[in-house]
Amino acid sequence: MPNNRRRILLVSFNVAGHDSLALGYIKAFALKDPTVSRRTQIDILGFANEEGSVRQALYYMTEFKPHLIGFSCYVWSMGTILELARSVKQIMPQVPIIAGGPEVGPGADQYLEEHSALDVVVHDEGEAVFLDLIRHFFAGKGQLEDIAGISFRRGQNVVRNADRSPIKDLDEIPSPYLTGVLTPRDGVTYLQSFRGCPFRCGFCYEAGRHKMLRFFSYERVKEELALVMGNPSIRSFHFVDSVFNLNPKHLGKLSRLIQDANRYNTALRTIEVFTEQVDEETVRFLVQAGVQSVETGPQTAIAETQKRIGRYFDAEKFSRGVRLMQEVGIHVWCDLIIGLPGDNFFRCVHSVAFTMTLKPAQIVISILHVLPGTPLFEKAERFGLAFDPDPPHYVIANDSFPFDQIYNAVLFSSSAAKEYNVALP
Amino acid sequence: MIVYQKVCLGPEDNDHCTVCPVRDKGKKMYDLAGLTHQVNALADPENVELCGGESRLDQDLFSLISHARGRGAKRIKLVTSGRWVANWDMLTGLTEAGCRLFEVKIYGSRPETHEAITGKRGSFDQTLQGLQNLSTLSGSGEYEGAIYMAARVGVTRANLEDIIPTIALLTSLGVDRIVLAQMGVDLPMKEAAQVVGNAMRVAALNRVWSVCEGFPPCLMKGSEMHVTELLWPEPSKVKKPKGCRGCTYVEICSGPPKGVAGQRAFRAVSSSPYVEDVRLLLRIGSPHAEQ
Repeated sequence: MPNNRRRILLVSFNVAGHDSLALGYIKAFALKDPTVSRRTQIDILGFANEEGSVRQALYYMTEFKPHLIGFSCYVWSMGTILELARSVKQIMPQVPIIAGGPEVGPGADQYLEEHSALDVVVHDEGEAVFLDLIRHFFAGKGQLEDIAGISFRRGQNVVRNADRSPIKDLDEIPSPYLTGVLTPRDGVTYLQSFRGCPFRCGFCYEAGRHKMLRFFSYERVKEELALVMGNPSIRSFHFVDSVFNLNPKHLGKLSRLIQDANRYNTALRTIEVFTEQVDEETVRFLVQAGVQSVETGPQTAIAETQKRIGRYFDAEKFSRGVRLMQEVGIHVWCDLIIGLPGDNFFRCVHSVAFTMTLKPAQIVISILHVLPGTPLFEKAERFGLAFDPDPPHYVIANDSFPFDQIYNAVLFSSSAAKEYNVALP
Repeated sequence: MIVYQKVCLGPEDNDHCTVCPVRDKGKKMYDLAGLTHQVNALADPENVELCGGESRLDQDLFSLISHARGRGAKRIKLVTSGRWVANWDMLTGLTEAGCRLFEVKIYGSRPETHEAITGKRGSFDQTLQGLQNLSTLSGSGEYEGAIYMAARVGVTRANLEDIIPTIALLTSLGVDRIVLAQMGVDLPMKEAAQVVGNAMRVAALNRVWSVCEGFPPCLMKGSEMHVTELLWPEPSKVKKPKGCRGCTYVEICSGPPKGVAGQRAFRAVSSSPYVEDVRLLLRIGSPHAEQ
């Protein structure tokens, strides 16, 4: 509750059953600064992204009386955040509102131009930038113009600063779990062993970010695992690495660390894997790591489409990888995206049919979001992509997939996936 | 696609349907032992379809479903007139036993049309009650998203004018899929195809997926996305009318149903942008294999 310290609220609106790891990193990094740690109170608020949550969040803010607000912005929550920001600005006009995250970063200037409730938008990775902003707003240190990695409002104008290089040594960011910023909880504890992604999938915002992979040290991951897996109430947790089976060496090391820390038979759930690369050795490592379920593509089973969107796909290797994981009891969830350039209605039907032949535990269908900063967003014209410029940026049509076909593909796929997923264990 | 292994619950139909292919009053029902034997004989019992005469099995149906579950069935679909599921206790008993997929056969939006085909007075109310029960159960907290509810609309000469109102009724009940199946040899195919095409548009406008069965692609121009024979193609060597020669879809179209009215309506499709994609689907394998 209110005290003499400067109060900062970090807010996210999460998909049901999820939590924000990103805000944990932001807070943990900020508290590294002794002055910030001593003179501020940083609270993380996670709301369900559902009806009524805006007024709930607004009520909390009127009670908490923050001096600074930071929003973690994703495609699914942006509309809610803007609604809340507009309301906050009316009753607390003096409180700076900072937005960061993959939804706002790539279009920072446009967001500031179109939404007067936002004061600062962070271009990319937020930890170091947010600490600089705290120092600026609360200690009067430096000018906003001097903070790399932001765009901000100055009067009627939007000022764009230079981008900031990402933190090279990820261990500079304290672990939110080891520092007590986040409390491990069953099912909503997220660990990370590296940032970045080796792939360049056209629809994924990771593809538009840093090409270089950056790793947390194994010592730090080991400590986090010991904390999480040493708690018998944590029955399962997640790794949010873009590709859990990045390479055999990393996977082998990681799985041994997990195995060594696993005192209570804790399960590792819903990790992302590159299935074409799954072989017998990979499966042994996944079993060693206690992996219970994985999420993977193929997104589409049409090789031509995969190539167009910058993905590698080998139907045979993919099928084999799925089978190998299933043989050891790992639940495989297969994802399909409707509306990719190169696909059409019948190709979408083919992808559903192909995926069903693999007998995955679940088939997850989604409509293409043309996310800012992704290759598809950047090259929209080349693909004839029409999409909603506002989040969630649903595709409307592309050069191979007209709207009426996308609409019918959604109806077909939703029905087919429901029929499939109704299966009893 | 999901291939269901069919288990026929009995040779008799529930009603007196004028278009039912399994109508045969002279034969006896199967008993539970015979049916469990059928289930045991399935090579891959993951997906099982129970069809025909379920209401005469009574409590044995629960036992059969439990048996199928024990044999590894993950999806058990009951094809029904809806009369069984019109009884709430029976419906919940079925779902608890492990039957979560239902396909309800309906022939009209009102008793006169439906019952003119089923031949049984009062059957429409029971079918509608069954659909309403499924809709209620599907939306209930306990079963939300865990019940799959399809409707099969037989399209005949007698109910053609009532097809679109029937689709409107079904979409209001929140079905997950509608199948419009060609039935009866006296159906005027060209006219019926137009009605079915419009009916599928009505379903799409109401965000419900629908397909037609037994209507060759040449009759369904503009609705190709809803033609079962294109979505689940299988090679066909059925002898086709002269007008079908050179048709783009000749490999996969099963042609007009034997003896159906309006054969002259069929015309070869000279080109289609979907041919290659349909052939690609063909390579995935036929879903029509039955045990």
